[in-house]
Amino acid sequence: ETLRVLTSWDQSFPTVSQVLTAFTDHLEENVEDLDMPVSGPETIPPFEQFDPVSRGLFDVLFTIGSYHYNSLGIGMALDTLKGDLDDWREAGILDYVDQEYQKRGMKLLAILVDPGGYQVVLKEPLTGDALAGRKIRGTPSYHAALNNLGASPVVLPGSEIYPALERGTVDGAAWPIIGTVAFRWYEVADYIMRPSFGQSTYLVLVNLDTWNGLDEETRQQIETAAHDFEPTASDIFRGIVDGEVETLKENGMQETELTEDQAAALQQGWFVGQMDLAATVSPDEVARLRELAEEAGLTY
Amino acid sequence: MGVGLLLMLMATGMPVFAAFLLINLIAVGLFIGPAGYSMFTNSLFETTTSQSLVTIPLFILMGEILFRSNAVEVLFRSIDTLVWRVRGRQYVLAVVLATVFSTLSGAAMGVAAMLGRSLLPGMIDRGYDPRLSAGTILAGASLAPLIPPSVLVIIIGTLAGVSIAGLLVAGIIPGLMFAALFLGYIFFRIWRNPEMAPKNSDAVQQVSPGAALRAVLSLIPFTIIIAMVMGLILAGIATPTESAAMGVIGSLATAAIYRSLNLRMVMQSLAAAMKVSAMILIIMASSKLFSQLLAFSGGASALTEWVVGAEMPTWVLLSLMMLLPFVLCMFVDQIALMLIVIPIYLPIVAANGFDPIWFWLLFLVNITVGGLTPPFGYVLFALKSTWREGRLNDVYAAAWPFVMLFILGIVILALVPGLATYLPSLL
Amino acid sequence: MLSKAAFVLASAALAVIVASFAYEVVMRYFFNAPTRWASDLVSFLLLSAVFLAAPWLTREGGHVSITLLPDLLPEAWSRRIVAAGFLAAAAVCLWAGWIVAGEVRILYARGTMTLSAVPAPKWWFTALILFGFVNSALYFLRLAFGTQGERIPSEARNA
Ligand code: NA
Ligand code: NA
Repeated sequence: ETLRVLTSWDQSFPTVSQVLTAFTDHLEENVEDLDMPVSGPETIPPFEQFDPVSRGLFDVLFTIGSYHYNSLGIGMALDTLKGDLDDWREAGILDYVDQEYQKRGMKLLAILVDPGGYQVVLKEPLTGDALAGRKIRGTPSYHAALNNLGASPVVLPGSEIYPALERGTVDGAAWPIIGTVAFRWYEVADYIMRPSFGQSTYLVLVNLDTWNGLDEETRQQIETAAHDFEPTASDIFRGIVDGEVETLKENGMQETELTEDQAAALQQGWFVGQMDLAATVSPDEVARLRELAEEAGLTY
Repeated sequence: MGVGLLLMLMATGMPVFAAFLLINLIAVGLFIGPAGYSMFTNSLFETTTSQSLVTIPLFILMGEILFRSNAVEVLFRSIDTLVWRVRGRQYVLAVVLATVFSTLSGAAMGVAAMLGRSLLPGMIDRGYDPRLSAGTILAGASLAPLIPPSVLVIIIGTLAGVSIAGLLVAGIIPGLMFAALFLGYIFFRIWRNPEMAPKNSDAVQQVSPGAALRAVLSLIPFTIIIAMVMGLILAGIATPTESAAMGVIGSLATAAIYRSLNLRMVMQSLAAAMKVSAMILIIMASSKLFSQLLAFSGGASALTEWVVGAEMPTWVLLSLMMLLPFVLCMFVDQIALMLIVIPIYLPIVAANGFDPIWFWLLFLVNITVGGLTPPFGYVLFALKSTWREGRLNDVYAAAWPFVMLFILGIVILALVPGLATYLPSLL
Repeated sequence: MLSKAAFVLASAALAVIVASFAYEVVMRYFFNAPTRWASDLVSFLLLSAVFLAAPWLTREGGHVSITLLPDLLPEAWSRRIVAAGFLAAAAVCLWAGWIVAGEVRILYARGTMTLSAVPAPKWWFTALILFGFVNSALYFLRLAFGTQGERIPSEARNA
């Protein structure tokens, strides 16, 4: 059996070269006659991938929810929750998310969680008044969080972050911790803001027709292998994040700390901003997800 | 096979964008089917909403406004007055301007179209050789990705894990070397055939100090644009893309100083710029899927793996590694090409002990020249869209000598790595 | 007439692109109040401008083409080949239009929005692409069967 995998990032990202590769290796080892060749954003650009995979152009999609929240927002809402995969499973959240993805032609096979989450890279250290008066580049996901710290969020394409930091067009940029090394922002900025916030939930989605076309036993094997891999993925992610932060420090970056109150405001803003954004397109689904999460005490 | 068919279709005079569309739709129909339809539509959507391409219409608009505002005429006259002794000075001006505007833009296409619209007609009017003039502009514009700011450098730095700052600094000496090669070639042509550069038509033979001063002063408004674009980038006020829009506003200011700013002129400039931009962007949008399908089929990766997989002497390997992107870049979008090729090259660069900055700089020059190489180079289409009297065949003829000069330059860089690595080593 | 109006809109879009960027730069630098919309608006205006301008461009015979073969052949043959090229271009544009129309329907039915800071229905933009292709196809047909034999719009007439 061959399952063609599409990822939203190229091989220069450790998320692909280390985590996804380990995932496909693990499945190929534990499922008989399974082959999972991987293609990247050179075939289909990241923000356009959900639709072609749900229509069978590829069999598996490795991505994050915010890249397709215009189709379904609850994948992205997962980034904001407290707790871990077991808590979410117990609260019935994962079953619900899977059910909604299936309505759109995709089966949720696995969630690979990067507990490291997100950070803000800064040109200048914090001085006590959080990010007041600073211009920080961020996608709309970050806007509420940045506003809570007094910053002005700036919308810029990803490729312009490096020159914008270099020339001081922006004072900082918000991004997952993983990526700061690949983008070499340490060449043009000196500080990483702490604490980091949120967690990144990477989704492994399978085209539903492909999935239903597999025989019962193969499906069982794939599901078990994928499920077994989930904790390993978080371990790999922790290792990557530690390594990246170390690399950043070796290249002269320093941590700069928010106060406890500011950190709470940041976390709160991240939760509200991401949830609200997810709800703009999928209001009912996100409301249901929030309900399930609130019942289990997993919201901020 | 697809490439052969594409060539055939285009040779019949079918519009270039339609030929690309046809090939892509046939490929989608044959190999993918209806699942590929969303891929097709999205490739159009994605390309024409890509912000890095916004600089193309903005630079063309700048060129249109300057052309209509008499600014270019003033520039020519000032240069004629100031350096009337130098034969072929307008070629030099073309190289210098193309280099300056390349500094402002990462997109060779934008610069080529802008100068094709503003500078080229004036040069031809003055009796300069059309092909040499066009070639000069093409070559100068192709320096754009070498000189900061440059999106291509940022992408290479990210994908290949080399210092972006280092790569940008590394481009300085090679960029100057290429400019010197172009100038050397131009003066050689003029020396062989003085007809290529007319003497002063206005017969300025003696320049009074007063006239010289006036010539210098009349250059000031023109520098507003350069200051507007470059200054805003350097001061961190605008991103490179935004600064192109500020350059348009600067050119309006220039037009106002030359007293030729009026609504009619602005409307005409907008319409003309829109026409040319649509020509270029529709070709880019229609060809984008070609790169994606090449990646989808695995053909490009397989070819790359095969090329670098065999046992061979290092210099043969290096040549092949450079030849491959050079050829592919004629058909394929540069960014898509980098995503396919760079990951495969990385271990080989390391295994052979190639200096990363040197190697990726060579690579960068290569993919840039791909855009300048007939028959498919996008920069050629961009210049053609603005050069009304010229046929595409003329543009091809204009490009070839400079492609050869680029290749010569690449060979020099390959043999003398210090040209690329010396400045970064000081960082 | 429609194409002319669309072309004027496209030119206006270009002006709005300049204005949006200028506004964003001024607001961000001088007032520390960057907009949420400028960046996305510019992207969508670029798409709109290109496909709104396409039909008029076709009408004017303004597309870039490589006339290698027609240049080598005698006048009468060259005319036929160029006409055949236009016919093929019309067919391709119709084919593309047909595919895009299907996508417009799907996006409309699903209510898919754009992935932008200020979201908009995505079918608006795919509908503009559709407009560009279908209208261009009609003009290519007109060029192919054009009554005015001497009016083969060569690329030399680009404006
Ligand atoms: Na540049
Ligand atoms: Na190219």
